[in-house]
Amino acid sequence: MDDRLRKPFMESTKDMIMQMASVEINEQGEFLDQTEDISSYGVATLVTFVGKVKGRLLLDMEPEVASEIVKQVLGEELNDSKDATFMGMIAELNNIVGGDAITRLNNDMSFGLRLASPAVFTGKNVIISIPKIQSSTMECQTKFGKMRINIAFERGGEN
Amino acid sequence: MKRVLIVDDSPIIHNLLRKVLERNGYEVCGDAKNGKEGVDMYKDLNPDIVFMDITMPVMEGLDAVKLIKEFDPEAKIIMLSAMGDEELKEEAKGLGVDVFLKKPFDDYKIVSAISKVV
Amino acid sequence: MDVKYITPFLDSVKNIMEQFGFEKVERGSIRKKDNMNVDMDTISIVGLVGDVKGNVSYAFSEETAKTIISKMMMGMPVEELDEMARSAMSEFANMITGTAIANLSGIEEVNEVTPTPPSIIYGKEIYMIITPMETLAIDLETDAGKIEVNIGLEM
Repeated sequence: MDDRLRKPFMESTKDMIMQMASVEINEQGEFLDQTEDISSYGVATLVTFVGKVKGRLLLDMEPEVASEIVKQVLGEELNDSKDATFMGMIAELNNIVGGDAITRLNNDMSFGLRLASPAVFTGKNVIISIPKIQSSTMECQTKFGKMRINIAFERGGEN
Repeated sequence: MKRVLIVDDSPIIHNLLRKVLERNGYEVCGDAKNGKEGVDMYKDLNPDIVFMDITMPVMEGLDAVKLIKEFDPEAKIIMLSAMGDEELKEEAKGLGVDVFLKKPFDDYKIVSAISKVV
Repeated sequence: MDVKYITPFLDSVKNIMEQFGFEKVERGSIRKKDNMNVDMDTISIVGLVGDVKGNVSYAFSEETAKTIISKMMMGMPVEELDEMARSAMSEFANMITGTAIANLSGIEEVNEVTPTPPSIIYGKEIYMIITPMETLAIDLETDAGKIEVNIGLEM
């Protein structure tokens, strides 16, 4: 996948989560092609977008990372990842990260992208599969646990 | 005390923005969850400042701005959106939007935006 | 939410199920969903942008998913939801979406609506939120089992 497509998502994820929750995200290595279904760390949020290209951003994190972000943003401890406010906050986080990233892509590459609503999932042994789409994953580490960023573009982002 | 109308489809944003506004001495006089409600509430409540999201159901933010400005050309509107590409900013400016903020936000960002419009 | 926006999504399931030789697809009541628990093992989720914006999801039990996939694969037995079965499930989601979009375009106010890529979620005790607004849930009783359609659309 073209770095111009996936890098903005990495930068937006780092910038927005730092701004909103003061949580530092450290990349572990490089973006790798995701060839298998993703086995979730616990809390997964996805937002899809459409314009000249179509794609999807998935943020997947351990519940402790999500809890810390929720705590920092809302100013209260909500440790139950099934709580409606908890999940709503993580969905909103992805809306903001996704919005920032596609703003960058629209400015740099004139893609005219728009976001659909973010969705968020939590459960036991959750597996996420995105059929027939090239996707690329960056594994990350935070002080509170693991997170991964998976970015998918239909036809690898070709118009 | 300045009265603020919040127009956004996300209850989380209402919640967070209300906290920021209240602790900085502003009163939230209305919570609208789409552009149409925003226009109706503006006419009813006559707020001093409006915070307006863009992507919303029923009526999106830029259309709501247009109607509010038709009703009251002096309306003080601050856009607050997850999106903020140049095209959107230009369009908002053309409609007479005073300040364009991109989410996320903090106290400083909100307070300085308000000080620019009132 | 106007019921005319719901029908296209239910009809598309019926159309596709019938194409695979299922006969019964009966619609249960529409309810507003307060609890976000999905008592199902497989959820296909599709996003929409344009005049209709949001997400629609289709949830099945593992047994129902296996029965549908088996029919799709000409009666081949499906023991577990492995990658191959999951890929068939995705195809099913794509078909339902394609048909739903075609049905939606029949609504007068809908000039433009574009689907975003589907994702499929598998797991146990899944909780989800698919829209900041209200979500409607409709059960479809089929001869492969129950399909829960969740509609979280803004328009």
